[in-house]
Amino acid sequence: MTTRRIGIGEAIREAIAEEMQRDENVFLIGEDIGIPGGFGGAFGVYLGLPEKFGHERIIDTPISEKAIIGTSVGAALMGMRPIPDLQYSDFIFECMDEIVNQAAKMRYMSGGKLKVPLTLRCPVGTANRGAQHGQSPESYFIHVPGLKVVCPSDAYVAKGIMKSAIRDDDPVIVFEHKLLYGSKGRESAGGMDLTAEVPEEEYLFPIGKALKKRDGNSMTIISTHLTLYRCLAAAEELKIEGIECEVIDPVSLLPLDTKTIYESVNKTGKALIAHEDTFTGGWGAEVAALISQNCFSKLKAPVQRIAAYDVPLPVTPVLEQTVVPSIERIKEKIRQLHKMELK
Amino acid sequence: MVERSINLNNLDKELLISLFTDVIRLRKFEDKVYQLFLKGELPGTIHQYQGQEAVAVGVCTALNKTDWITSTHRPHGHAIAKGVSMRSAMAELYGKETGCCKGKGGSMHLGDPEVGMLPAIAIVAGGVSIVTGVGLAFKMKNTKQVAACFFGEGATNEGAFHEGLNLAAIQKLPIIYVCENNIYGASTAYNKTTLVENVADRVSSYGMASKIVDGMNVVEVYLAVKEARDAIANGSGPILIEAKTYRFAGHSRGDAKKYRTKEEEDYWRTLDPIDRMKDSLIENSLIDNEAFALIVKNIQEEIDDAVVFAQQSPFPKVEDAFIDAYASDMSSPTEVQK
Amino acid sequence: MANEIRLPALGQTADEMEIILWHKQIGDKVSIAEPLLVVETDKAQVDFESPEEGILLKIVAEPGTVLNTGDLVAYVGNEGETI
Repeated sequence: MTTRRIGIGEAIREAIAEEMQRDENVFLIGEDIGIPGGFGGAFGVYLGLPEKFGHERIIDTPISEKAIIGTSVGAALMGMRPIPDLQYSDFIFECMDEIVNQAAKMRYMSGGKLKVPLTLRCPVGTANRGAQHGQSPESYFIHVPGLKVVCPSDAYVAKGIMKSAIRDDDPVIVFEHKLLYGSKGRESAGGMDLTAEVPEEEYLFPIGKALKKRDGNSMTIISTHLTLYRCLAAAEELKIEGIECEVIDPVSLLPLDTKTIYESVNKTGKALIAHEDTFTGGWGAEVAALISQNCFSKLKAPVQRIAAYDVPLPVTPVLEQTVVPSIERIKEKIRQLHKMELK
Repeated sequence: MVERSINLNNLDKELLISLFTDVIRLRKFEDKVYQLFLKGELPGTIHQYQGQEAVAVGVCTALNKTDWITSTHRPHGHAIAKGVSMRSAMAELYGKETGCCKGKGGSMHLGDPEVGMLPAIAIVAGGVSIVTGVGLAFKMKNTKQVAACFFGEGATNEGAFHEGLNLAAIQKLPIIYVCENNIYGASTAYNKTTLVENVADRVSSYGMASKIVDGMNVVEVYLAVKEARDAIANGSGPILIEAKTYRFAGHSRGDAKKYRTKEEEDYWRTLDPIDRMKDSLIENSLIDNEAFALIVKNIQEEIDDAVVFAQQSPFPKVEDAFIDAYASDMSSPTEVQK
Repeated sequence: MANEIRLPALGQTADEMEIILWHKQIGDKVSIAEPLLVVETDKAQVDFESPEEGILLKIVAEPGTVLNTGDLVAYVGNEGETI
């Protein structure tokens, strides 16, 4: 097997190109995606695709989120496999009805006769653009039966899971973090290497499978996206204090790989869930409840969560960095959990 | 092709000079902001307003001071024109505590209730949704105030546009919808998204009156808004004004603008609102080069002062991140995560 | 003292930028907002316009170099100024 190092943006582009080649029902729809001389999508992921597949299958739309998703639902019901793009996940609120009331429920309401095989791409994450351009809204959607929710955080997973999502017969929302597309992260976000070894040969990464990113015995950390990298950095820095964290990337939030998560928590006895979405009602709360219920006899301490504080995102860097979980804040939480023991 | 020279319509000299000065203020402010961004002094990104100044200035000058405006992700020009001080706007762009939004809103959310501007809404057509309520409040409380709603031609394809205008029309709300048609929604030309050429032609479907103006002509914009405001004061119901204009810069920073041609950009530069107004004022002996130089000098001083103010202002205190999410007493967001 | 010219955050979400070519040569006069060089960001190839005016005194980063937001690329100042 030959591999090469690429970033998430490239990985997703390859996945989409391969699936468009494989299945003529796959098409792209969204704003600024195929315009000649344009952006190639908000984060350049579609660059080169119009030249390969033509504008019939790469549809540039007006600024009409309800129409973009509504159209995708209708086309999917008729047997096509649309990949709509919303540029920034903050705009998903414009089309909540089409996602929650239509895409998620058509199959059930039809008694199983219809399916909605769409794959919605949504970039998340704060990047100093303010309260309406930096949210991580994954948590709203794990609450909706009928949807699938995935959060790729590296190129290997991104390519494989995008292909799986496109081939999946259910509506899948793929939440990508906007600071993780390139080969190197922003200095202000940690400056880490974001490339991964990605096979040349075709492969799929299944929806519903978590990845262990780091081995350890002190506690289990469960995290996604940029926060995952911050947790990994924190874990490395705390080795010296004798704390060895096991880090799990759940990858899919719905369906959740509870087997991998419970196995790890049963081994370590402690769990910390970390995400950039806000604390109250974040997906961490759901995972915490599941762990409390299913790993209770093995828990040495209450399940902990760390997340963005419950405020809208401020724009000025010093406030923004205070609100989202930083490496320092994560380290403090890890130390705190490490010291906890149930009497 | 647009007639380049500006008809001053025998307007008061003081008013004409004021319109001219404000257009230059907006341009110089935005040029400075851009330079500061290039020097790495501003966080995030910026959506620049150069080229569209005649619209913000024409509209805000024609409105009463107590009227309100809503704005978009491209709000710098609207803010300065409506009366947000350069100090307050610049400090906000720097993310400082002394900014109009205390460093929390940033470039895309400039605004100040004290001068009648809601924090700009960065969601396309978000302002169109909300202005309906602003207008309704004015009507219900019979305050005789008017609301102006700025948006781009791209917003006219959002569901919110349809719902907002239709409701405002049937409710006869005191709203002036100002469409800044600068041809492009990010990289997408309007004619690639809509079969109808003029935004103004779409609003008759709501039973609403409309007017198309040369958005690079501050006098024409001013007169159209004055006329609209008078009509609304006489019970006409909401009106849409479509200003044909152009943004000289890209959508935001880092936009190579390859979806536009040089010919098109050059053509719109010949319609620069500052040059045209200056030429017409000189032709009519209302200004000379010396007076112009003095105007520019004063504006430069105002801007330099704003920059120094912003640079010297403190950043917000870390604790400020946790206040002002609610008006009523709520437990601190930091408490739940202890 | 000549002004340092550093790369601003021209990329959409990544800090890395590659120098593609210089529009200006050493000794050329430069105005504020005049394109100095072309960089390739995570989004596109874009012009980096000069934040300062003066003479381009020294180029520190040649085409092909990969730099980050904040890195020094050149000096612009008055003729004969120290660097």
